[in-house]
Amino acid sequence: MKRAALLVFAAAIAHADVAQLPPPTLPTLSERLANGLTVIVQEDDSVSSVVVHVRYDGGIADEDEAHAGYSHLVEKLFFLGSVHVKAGEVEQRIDAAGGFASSTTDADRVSLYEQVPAGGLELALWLEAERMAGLADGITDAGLAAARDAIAAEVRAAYEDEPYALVDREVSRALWPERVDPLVVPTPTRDSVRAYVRERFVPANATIAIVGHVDAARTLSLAQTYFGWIPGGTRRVVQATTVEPLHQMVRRTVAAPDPKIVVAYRLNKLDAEDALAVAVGARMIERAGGGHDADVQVELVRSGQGGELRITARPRPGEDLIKDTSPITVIADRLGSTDPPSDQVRAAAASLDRDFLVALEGLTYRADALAAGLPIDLRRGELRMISPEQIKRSAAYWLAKTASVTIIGIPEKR
Amino acid sequence: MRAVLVFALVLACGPRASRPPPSATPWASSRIDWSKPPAIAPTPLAVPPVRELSLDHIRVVVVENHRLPFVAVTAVMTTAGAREDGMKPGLAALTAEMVRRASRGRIETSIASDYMTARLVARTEDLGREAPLLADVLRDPAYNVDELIDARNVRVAELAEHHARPRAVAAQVFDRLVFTGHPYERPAEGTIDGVSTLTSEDVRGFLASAYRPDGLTLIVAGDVDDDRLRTLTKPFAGWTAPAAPAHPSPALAAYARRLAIVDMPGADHAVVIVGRRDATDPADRLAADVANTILGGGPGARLDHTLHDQLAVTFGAGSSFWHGQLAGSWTVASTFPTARAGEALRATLAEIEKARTADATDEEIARAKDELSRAVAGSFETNAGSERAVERLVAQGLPTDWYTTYLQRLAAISPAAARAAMQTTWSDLSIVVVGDRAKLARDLTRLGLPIEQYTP
Repeated sequence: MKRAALLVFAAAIAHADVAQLPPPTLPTLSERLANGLTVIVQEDDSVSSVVVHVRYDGGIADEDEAHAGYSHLVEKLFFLGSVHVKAGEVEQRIDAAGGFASSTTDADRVSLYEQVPAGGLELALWLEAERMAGLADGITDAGLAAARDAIAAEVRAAYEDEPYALVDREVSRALWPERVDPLVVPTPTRDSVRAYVRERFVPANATIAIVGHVDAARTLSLAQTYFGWIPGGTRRVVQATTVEPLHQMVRRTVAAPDPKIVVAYRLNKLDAEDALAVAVGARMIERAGGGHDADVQVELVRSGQGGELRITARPRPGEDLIKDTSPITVIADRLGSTDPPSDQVRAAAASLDRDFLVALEGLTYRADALAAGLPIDLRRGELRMISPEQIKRSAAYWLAKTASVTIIGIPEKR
Repeated sequence: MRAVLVFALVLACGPRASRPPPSATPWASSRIDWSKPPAIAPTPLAVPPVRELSLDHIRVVVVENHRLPFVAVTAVMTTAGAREDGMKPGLAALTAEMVRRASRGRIETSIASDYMTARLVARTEDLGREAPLLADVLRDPAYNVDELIDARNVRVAELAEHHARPRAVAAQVFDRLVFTGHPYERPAEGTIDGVSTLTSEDVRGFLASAYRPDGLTLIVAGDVDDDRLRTLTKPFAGWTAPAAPAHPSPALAAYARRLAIVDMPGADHAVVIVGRRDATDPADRLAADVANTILGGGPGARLDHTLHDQLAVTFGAGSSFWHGQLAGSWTVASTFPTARAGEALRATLAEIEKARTADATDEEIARAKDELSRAVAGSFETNAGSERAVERLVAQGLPTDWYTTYLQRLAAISPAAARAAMQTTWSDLSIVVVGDRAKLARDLTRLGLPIEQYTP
């Protein structure tokens, strides 16, 4: 989640077009193969490892009712065997090479990635190419059952065993009533999943970012060798959606293990014009509520399908936030009606800039950002030029009380 | 023959409706050998220089990295750890929290048995403006009594939550077993009883005695040069240590193996810790690390192979060393379903005994050394990683060139040294189990040790 939050900032900066500060410049090459696969390679000789990140466009927000939960299911299936690779073999081989493999499913993508010592680059490319070409044919009934079991276990862990995620699920439902539940256990047939994979998980719908101790030109050539022969499929153009704030205020109560209050707002998409102003505003809320007060968290998440801001608080002894949530929204409320002080804006922007620099150190973050189409040669200048007025305007639009969702988790009496 | 032909036709014309359409994937056209993945090429590894100097009478350890324009600083105060608490468990932790609050969240603090840390991250361009904050909050943190009461209440609530976490409970009971009578037996974050009674006078007193320049090391990683280092140390100039020395910790009592259970009736899983107090000399530490990596270094190591891959009784099993300034410990920690906890514990003990009595293969030793080399080199790829690595060095009192000579020293570890470490490190094991006693008692009784009952 934190990574996603940082991506927001990358998006915001990527949109900037003003002054340029000394950027972290690293040689980056990009090429679209004949089959439609986009390959991005960034050299960084200050590290000894490499990250290979394969992003398939389309995620949870792109599912219809008939395919609810398929993105998450396919993410699991990628580790449960393909034509030449057995179930569990991807992790075993990457572990044995001294790396790690992981994956994620979000509103707008399914990503698979691994970090290996530089000498393991070809192994990672071989494994990713094999499962890109061979997943559909490699899906078995046993694999499908194992994927469903894994998701069911996640659902149990999140909502039943220790149901800490119930409040967050309710926030998602209230914010995005048009979306399917992100943690649903689908029960598809093998053929329907195969058809889904063949349609969506194809080179034309994918980007591969390779970041680390590599020779960029040689790596592009390797990518061509391993991925260039795979039939490209058809690029799915995801319907552009317009994100707007909610048109009504929502307030609900759910049972939860601990008392917890979440106030949330819809936000604009990754590439929206006011993304940077919203990010600075969110940081101002965080600094006001977070720094001194350990019990308030501010989380900013955004994808190509729209984002959200969540302010989460756990009541302190003697504090009744359930009756009155204003202590945690006072800054958000104020931002939309009053120009914030310039020095606070500057401090929040500097804090955001610093965190972004810190995030840039991580290869997995950089590969993720590159695969999402966010340029790494940052133009940090606009961040310094965000004005109090821009923040007020964006906050008034996105963080209005009338567009907020408040979900209150109350412990059940036992 | 005809019968065979008919049977073959039936097979070929079988229920195709349930089969997927034939694949159109042109594997052959790829000209890639899909029968086996490519071999892994050797990866050159390096550790950057770690430099130590004294500026404004403050010890500074530096790892320069000019790739990105920011600096990360960790102040390590080896006189302000939890073992300095005296009779007020939790005082060191609450004091570190008040330091954090005094910075208005700009500085993160943490507490360990032997030291506290305060961490500041700043863009290079902001260093001059932000550096004084670190000195300000370490020398004289500003807070009021209401803030302290609030911090104390929050901490008590957190400690109460810890009691519901079996792994945290198991770790605390393990420390009570192997460090009995020593400050290491207490959790660094304190106890509810201890924290509840802390006052502002206690915190002020601890600040005055334990926060001192002779206990301070600044670890600096990132975009720094000597001028910027002086920017960091200058605000500490003129800080003098109090006359009274930090009080010494008592000597450790002799170690003996013990068995303890924390009863959690109805628990469907049991947390198990197996281990002992460790006194490996730093000179022998690398050989012990190689041995530990073979046994419990993670996926592919012996414990994980047996408990996860073969028996499927856990999501993962591993072992690790903890090295303090005055002593250390070695532990295997895992979680097993209650119904199979006895079987899993026996398998764990058998695997440890096998490691003591049977040789590791040359391949295992080579793989472990390779893994350790990569881990050390990889930890210096980010400023945060460099800080953590050097923090261990400072906390354990290791020489500054520990990491810069690490790869060379590791390469020199002979198979015989690794095998000797395996055979000598893991005897007289103590065991802690947090779970349903009624269902576990029979298996634990078989271990032949008196069972001690603990409460969280």
